[in-house]
Amino acid sequence: MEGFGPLGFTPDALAQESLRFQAKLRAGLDTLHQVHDIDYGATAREEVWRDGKVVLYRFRGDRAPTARVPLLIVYALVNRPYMVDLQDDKSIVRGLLERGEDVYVLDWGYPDRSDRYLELEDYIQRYIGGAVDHLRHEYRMDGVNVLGICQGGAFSLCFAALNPHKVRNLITMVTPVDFHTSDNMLGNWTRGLDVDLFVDTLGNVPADVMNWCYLTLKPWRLFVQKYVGMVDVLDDPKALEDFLRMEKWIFDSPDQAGEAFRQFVKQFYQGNGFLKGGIDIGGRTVDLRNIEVPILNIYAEQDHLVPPASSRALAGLTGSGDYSELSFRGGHIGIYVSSRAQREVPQAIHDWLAQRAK
Amino acid sequence: MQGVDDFEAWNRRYWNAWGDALRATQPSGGAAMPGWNDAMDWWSQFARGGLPQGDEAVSRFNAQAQGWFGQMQQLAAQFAGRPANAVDIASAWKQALGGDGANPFAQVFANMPGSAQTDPSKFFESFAPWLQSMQRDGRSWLALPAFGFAREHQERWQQLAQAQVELQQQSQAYQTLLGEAGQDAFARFERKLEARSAPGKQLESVRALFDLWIDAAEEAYADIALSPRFRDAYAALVNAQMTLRGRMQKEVEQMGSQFGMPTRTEVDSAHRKIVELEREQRRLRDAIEALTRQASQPQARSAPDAAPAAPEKAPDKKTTTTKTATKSTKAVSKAKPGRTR
Repeated sequence: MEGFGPLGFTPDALAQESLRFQAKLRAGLDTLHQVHDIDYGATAREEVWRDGKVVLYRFRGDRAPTARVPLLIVYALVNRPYMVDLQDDKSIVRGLLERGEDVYVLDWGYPDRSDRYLELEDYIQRYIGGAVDHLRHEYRMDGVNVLGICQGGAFSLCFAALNPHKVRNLITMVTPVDFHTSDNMLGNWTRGLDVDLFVDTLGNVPADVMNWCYLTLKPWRLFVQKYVGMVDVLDDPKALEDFLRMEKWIFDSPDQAGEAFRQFVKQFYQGNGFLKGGIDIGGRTVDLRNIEVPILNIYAEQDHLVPPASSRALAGLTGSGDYSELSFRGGHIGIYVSSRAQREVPQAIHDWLAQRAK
Repeated sequence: MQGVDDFEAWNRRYWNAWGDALRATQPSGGAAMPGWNDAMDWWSQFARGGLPQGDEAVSRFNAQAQGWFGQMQQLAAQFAGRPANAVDIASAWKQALGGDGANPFAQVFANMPGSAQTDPSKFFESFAPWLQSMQRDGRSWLALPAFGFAREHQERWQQLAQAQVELQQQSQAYQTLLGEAGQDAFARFERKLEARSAPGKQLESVRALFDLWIDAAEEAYADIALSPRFRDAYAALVNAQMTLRGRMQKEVEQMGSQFGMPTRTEVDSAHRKIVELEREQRRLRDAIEALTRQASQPQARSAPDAAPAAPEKAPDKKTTTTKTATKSTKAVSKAKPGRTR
């Protein structure tokens, strides 16, 4: 169709494409009713510690761990942590277990109105601290390995800075550090927000508000294109299951405890405290230079939530003499669930930890 | 499944008719897609009934994805097989969405699922009857200077009315920015189409055309959304929404308290006390433990270099299922005695 401008298709080709679309829709009438298993969780786990709604799970692989130091995964508050163990072929946890790591995941639960006054101190010192102390006690060691993801990475940095002797190796994954990079949309939107008015009015921040905010970061992709793309997999039960499982995770958002949200927005999003100072957790100042343990900072090159520049700002801020970065080709979600992630991320973490276990 | 069979038969006729219409398209005419929305509504109706997550995904597809894609199919049908340049196609797309006044972003946002807590228009919708009754009752008071025994009520209602006006203004300012993003998206779409006009770069499907529009729209949106102007407008909108919501909550509390009902403020106050007590208790516990540890240090020194293998069985599994913060603290307290580090 040269010489016809940008459109290279004929009416006949268009009709054929429409017929294929129709066939997919028709198939969907069967597959949508056949799909039953979109439950999450690929790996056996057991509760080993609890404080209120917060639970520490130990994950069990097919073989006993070979690593002597447990690895605690600290996830963000804004979604559920089962993203790291979503399904058989999409599980960072499983990949770590297969390589001999001893994996624990902290599950924040679903805060309700009685949790409105939980502060960052509660999340960092009480909950992360409680889980870490539990592991230190059970393994009779001074410090454990911590893998902080996204906001959980920011919490882990705070925890390590406030309790340097309790962390042996620190891994941060898609973790925001500089909240004021020019490509940080969330950072831009929250900068002028009257967060006091916001939290005083709403109390806890409802999950609907959080979801709305995330969807509006890329409204066309996340609310239009994605569901047109869903038609592509309507004739593939397995792919449809995967799609719906991901949908379940995306919309399974806990409310955010109001006071912790207020503090996080003020000190991190507005104050950019890791860079500018002024992060106060329970009356103690966070100074990243207190972190002298080895750090592996993993970021995603196409991350629209935590831009690479935001994560990479960590370089030079800590007191660690052993700082490494790992660049992942993918986005904020792909780093957990893509096939590339399954191949690369657990192996990289395991290798890095193994080198430091000697 | 009689219903599905009916759907299939109906759908086959529809698609065949549309295919015939496409093949008969003349250079001067644009093939319409009569009944696309009806077809998709039918499909959505039959597609539901499986898992809740499946139904929700179908609803999201039906809410707008199918509508946008259907419109793009119409655009493609209008130009398929005809010599059309980027300007013609982009212009037709813009016209299809409302011409110079088109605000495709506003359309996308309006059809996103959201509660009154998120979308300003839904916020108005949900509370409009209540606000209207407030205004009706209080209209005669609003313009008067506040004095006398009802002065406080009058002031509150005045503030409520002001907050409502403020939200409408900020919402308008925000929509204006979205409108700008929309116009920029059309311009970008045209440039992208132009870039695909060279031989070997042509778009080969409706889907590719649709994806090109999505790219243009997202780029235009990102440009605006990352700007200081958007930051200010966004903050002003959210702040105005929270102000109005807060004023309304105050009115509800006022009414509730007149009937002796517990208010949100009172419950929050109790929750605050509980959390503060918990925090204090934890600090005391930690201080006591530190002292205990200090006193017994020679006996209980930790030995990280001689760490044992990982515990085979999960130790001390806590199965507490208490839900309130107060009770959970007890569960933690029970777990602590006797432990050493």
